[in-house]
Parts: sequence; C-alpha cells; structure tokens
Amino acid sequence: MIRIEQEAWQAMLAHARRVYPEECCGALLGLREEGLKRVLRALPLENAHPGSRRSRYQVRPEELLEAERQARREGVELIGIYHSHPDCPAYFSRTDLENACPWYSFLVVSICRGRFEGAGSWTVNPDRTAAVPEELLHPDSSSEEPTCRES
Amino acid sequence: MPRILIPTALRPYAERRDSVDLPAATVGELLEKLAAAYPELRRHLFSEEGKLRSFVNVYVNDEDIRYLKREATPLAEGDLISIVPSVAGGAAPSSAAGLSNQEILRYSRHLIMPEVGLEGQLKLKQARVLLVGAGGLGSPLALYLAAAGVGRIGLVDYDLVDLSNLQRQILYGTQDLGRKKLDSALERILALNPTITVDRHDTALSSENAPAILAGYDVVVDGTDNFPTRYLVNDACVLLGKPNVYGSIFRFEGQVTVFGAPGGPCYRCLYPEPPPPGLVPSCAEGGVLGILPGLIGVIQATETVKLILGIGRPLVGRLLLYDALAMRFRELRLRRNPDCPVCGDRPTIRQLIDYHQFCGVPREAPADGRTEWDIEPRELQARLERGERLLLIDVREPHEFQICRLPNARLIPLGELPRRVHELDTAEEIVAHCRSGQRSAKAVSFLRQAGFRKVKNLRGGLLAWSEQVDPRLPKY
Repeated sequence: MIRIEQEAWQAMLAHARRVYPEECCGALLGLREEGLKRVLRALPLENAHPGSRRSRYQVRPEELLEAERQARREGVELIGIYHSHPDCPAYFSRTDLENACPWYSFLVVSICRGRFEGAGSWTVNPDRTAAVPEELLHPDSSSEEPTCRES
Repeated sequence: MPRILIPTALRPYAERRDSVDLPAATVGELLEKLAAAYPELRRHLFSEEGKLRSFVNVYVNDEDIRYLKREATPLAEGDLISIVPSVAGGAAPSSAAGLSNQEILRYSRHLIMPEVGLEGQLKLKQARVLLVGAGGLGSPLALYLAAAGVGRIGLVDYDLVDLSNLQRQILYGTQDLGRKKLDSALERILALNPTITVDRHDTALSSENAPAILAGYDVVVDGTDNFPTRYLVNDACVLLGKPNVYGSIFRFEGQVTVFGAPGGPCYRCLYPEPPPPGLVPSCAEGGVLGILPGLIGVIQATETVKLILGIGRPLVGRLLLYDALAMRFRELRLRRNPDCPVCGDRPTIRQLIDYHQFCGVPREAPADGRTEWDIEPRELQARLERGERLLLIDVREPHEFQICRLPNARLIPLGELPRRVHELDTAEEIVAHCRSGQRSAKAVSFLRQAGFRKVKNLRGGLLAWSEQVDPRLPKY
C-alpha cells in the first residue's frame, strides 16, 4: 500500500496542472514502514523527453541521482516516481511499463482539462513485462468517481 | 577502496546499508562483487544472462560510465560510485501501431466485427478528419467520430454559442452561451474521448487559408450553411484530391453525398452555378427542424467512417434525399460532368477563386456595411418617439409575426411584396424590417427599383432592436 500525504499530494497536483497539457514528472520521497510506503514529499523533476511532452516523459538520470542524494540527506527514501497523463485516464500504459524501473512505485495522475480526474499506483516486475497495481491512499481518495476515467 | 552508494530503494536487499566499500579495479568487478555479497541485489541489477539491466546507469563520481570505458572503467581509491535507473514513460503507446488495453476495451464493439477489427480501428486512430462548421451538422459528426476513435478531428468555426443554436447543436449546452464554439466543443469531445486530438481552427475558411488547413486531413466534411463556403470546400477538395462528405439541410429536408472521390462527381457537377443571391433561404431565414441535422450529420459520419475503413459502398455518385415529413429517403444518381470547370477533363479552375464574388453575396461583417438606405434602431426609436409618421413594414412570415413584432407594424411577407406593392404609397416614409435585416434589405432593394425613394431598412432587424432598444422583444 502506498499513501500520499497532504503536502506531497498538493505539490504533485500543482506541478501537474502547471505543466498541463504536457506531462509532468517527479520523485516521491518518504518512508517505508511495515507494509506501507508513506510519501512525505513530491519533488518536481524536469520532463526531459526530447520530443512532444504531451504524452511522454523522461527523467534525466543526473536529476534522479540528485533526488537520491537529497533523500539521503533528509533521511528518507526515494520511494517512487510520479507523472501525469494529460486528458487521458490514469492507467499504466505500455510505454510506462517498458520504461519503468522495478525498484520504484509508479504513480500516475490523470489531469483532464487542467483538473485532477484520478490516480493510480503500480510496481513492475524485474523484466518490465507486467505491472501490478498497488493500493493507493491520497487526500482525495474518498472524493467521487472521476469522470475522465474510461470504463 | 572505492565506495558504492546503494539506492534507497535497493537497501532492503543489501542489509539496509546505504553504502558499501569494496576492493575493485574496475566498475564491472565492483558490481560483480556487490552482487556476490548481496545475492538478492543481483536480479535487480543484472538480467538472467548476467548483463547489467538496460535501465541501470552507473556513475563514477559524476560521470556516466557510458562516456568512460563502461564496465571496464578503472576505479581509484576514494571514487564514489552511484547507481541510478533510467525512468521514462507516458500515456502514448510506444508503438504508433498499437492500441492500449483501455482503447481495446473502449472500442471492443468495433474490434469484434471483422469488417473493422484491430486493423480498422488503427485506421480510424490514424485518420484525420476536418469538419468545416461546428454547428447543426458538425455537432453529431464531432461526437460520433470522436466516439468512434478518429484520432485527429479538426474543427473550423469562429462563432460563439447562441441560445438559438441549442435547438439542434448538441455539442453545446446552456452553460456554454456566449463562449467560443471551439472551446466548448473541445471540452465536450475530450470528455467523451480523451485519447484523441482536436485541432481548433478559429477562423472562417477562405481561399487564402483553405489549402493550408485542408492539407493536414484525409477526409473533409462539409457542414456549412452558405454557398460561398460550399463552393470553396468543393473546389479545395477537388484540387487537393480529398473526399468531401457533403450534407445540407433545410426545414424538413436534407441531402447527403460524397463528392471529390476518384472518378466521382463534385458539387459543381450537380450545381455548376450558385443560385441567385437570396433565392434559396438559409436555415436562419427559413428555419430547420432541430432533429434534421442530427440525422443528416450521422449519415455524413457513417460515410466518413466507411471511407476511412474502406468498407461498404460509399455514397459516391448518389445523392441521398431525405424528407422528414414524409419520412422517406430517395436516391438520385449523380455523374461526373466531363465539362465540369474544376473536376472535368479540361478544368479551367486550377486554383481557388473569390467565392463571395462568384456567389454574388457580400462577405459577412463587412468593414462598415452601413448604407444610406439603413436606419439604426436607436434612430428609429427617436423618430417614433418624436411622433413622426413612419410606415413600419414587417417582411417576415406570418408565423414569425406571431412570435414578436414592433407596435403598429404592418405585415407584408417578402414573397408577397411584388403583388402587394400597390398597397404602399411612394410618398410615405417606409421602414422595412425583418428578423436580422437581410430579407428587409431585399425588400428595400425591390421597393427602390419600384420607384420608392423614402424607404429605409432597419439595420440588424428585430435582433438589433431587442439588443439596442427594447430587450423585452424576444430574439429567436
């Protein structure tokens, strides 16, 4: 189970809305407790995808290394990576799977017309051939069913 | 000894250590020793073939080993080695030729029909369709084509949503009044299908911009309501070799066909010349059953999807006529005219022309359309309040007269004017008016030719009167 705390959640959504209609990406820092990953902070990273960033993102390894160093300094862990799907449901796409890293949780937030419309979190197997959804708790979890999600 | 930093995420597999010091001469040796010391770590770093996983990057101090000697990169005392993965992704399918699982579910009712199937659905996804006009016909077209998964839909329109649109333009709602149609349409379409792309062309299609706009699309769908744009769309499609899915509506009747297909006829083969200006009323003048564009637009959408999929028998060379009152479809056979000036054997029109001039109609919103024969609503109001004797002639139809009228106005429908002109006195000062000022302009023009000199047209008609003088007068 992964739980996103209020401050991290707000920072991530603000980032996603700021770069809409492009995809945003960032690092999730927090603590790993018994059966629970607690995300305390969302650290925005630059979307370094060389082409259109409307439906692709790429994290520069140097920036991820710096995020890792920051996590060390603060005594927390780099738990996951977040990115947004603008005007697209929060699902784990094949592109997401093929370019993921099995060490992290991958959080996807759907931003439709600039508004939050749903989120999901996944982990992937070492060969990156399958993604497993993990239970996600966030401050808006209890809000009504998102309208942009496909049925 | 070189020191290797363990990423926080991998520490559970390395006895929770944050770094490990190991004697090693090269990066390769160091990683191998690390994996040997912590067997659980091995599968996270190496594939089953024993190769470093493709997403694993190794840095010596701040240098990526790919730019050094890769795994043979030598290490020295005090070097700091970091492991950092590559991370990327995004909503886009990595291969343009694929459908995501969500798309497969969304289009499942298409996919299970062999006539469409995965191949057909991918054709729809890669298809680019331009809708000229986002009104009565454009509404069902945009919604159904978006739902069907047409990957790129372009909309050409510059209008705002008006209350009188909502009787038939189902892309818009009451909350959209006064908004740009394209903004409302974008929201509505993406709410229906966020996986497609919508291009907004916030302009009137013209001879100047048509080639550039049309160039980006495979199929053009004509949902316009005026002759200059119809001829423009037709000629541009023929010249660019794009099919033109044509539809038109009036009162209770509609027409649909596909022009511009190879070997098929074009609009000019059917109508070589535009009708005289004013002879054929528009929907704004003559009205239209609100449901009619739904039916005609959906037939246009069907033909568009068939053209993209390459299935069935397209409506090429056949003009489908629909009569809502009789509830009957008829079909007329159309043939390409070998002498057609644009699609014939020896075409004389090789580039786009001035279509307003060709159709003999003024452009909309001229720089200053005011003529000496016009009277502004406020001026008329002032003169009536001063008690001046003016004969107000309403040239609309009787059922329109029932909706609203100016006090003391006399009804003489435009069509009856020629035979009732004797009821009028050339010495009297006359102000003709209608709903928007267009029909009354024709009435004024007719009266002038009949010798009337003291005749004016209420500029902007009752619509302008309602806006500028008396908002109690309903607009329709």
